[in-house]
Amino acid sequence: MDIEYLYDDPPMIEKIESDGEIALLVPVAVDHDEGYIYFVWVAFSPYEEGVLEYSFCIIRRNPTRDEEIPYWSGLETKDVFTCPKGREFIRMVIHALTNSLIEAVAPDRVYRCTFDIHPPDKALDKHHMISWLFRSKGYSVMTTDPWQGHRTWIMEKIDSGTNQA
Amino acid sequence: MKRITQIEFMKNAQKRSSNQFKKLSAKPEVKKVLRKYDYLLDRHQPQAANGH
Repeated sequence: MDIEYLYDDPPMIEKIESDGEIALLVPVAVDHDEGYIYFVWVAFSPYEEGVLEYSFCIIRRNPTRDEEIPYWSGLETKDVFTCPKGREFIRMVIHALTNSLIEAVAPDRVYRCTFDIHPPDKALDKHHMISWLFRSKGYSVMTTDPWQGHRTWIMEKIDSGTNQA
Repeated sequence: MKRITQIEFMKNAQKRSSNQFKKLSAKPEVKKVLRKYDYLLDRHQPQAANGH
């Protein structure tokens, strides 16, 4: 498998709004051997009144078949993105898109949970990064005990400047 | 980080965003954006950017 990571000359970040969902999307890698294009997708989706759900995933597009498969778990992509530098790059893109999304939407309350049940510590690395990003943008971050194996977080915008980074 | 014990949001935990994506990816506007980058497969692969 020969993956080209789009480190340089990043393509335009696409913004998609539909049915209350706001998503940012950007291509990050191309598998020339298999004929796939990989995208990072970061979104706020309607969850409950006054609450959005935050999520991110990797989308694998097959142009020949004109179909997409979303990967919600790092367990699904660890054998695809085997290059450590490439994995770090994708992490950086998730961070950058999330930062842009928070600034663009500035939601009051955001819910987030892991896709995986009982995710290993390493799988939580990206979620820790996301927690600290929200924190740095002026949100409180509350976490819960695992619920049926899922880890969950609730982020709330802090209006006063007393608890900001 | 503050921990909470009452999981007030869990009642809707089955509302997975993956379902939302399935709905979205079928929409013409999303397909249009994704298709816009099909050209990336046709480019010559820059060796220096490979990362291996």
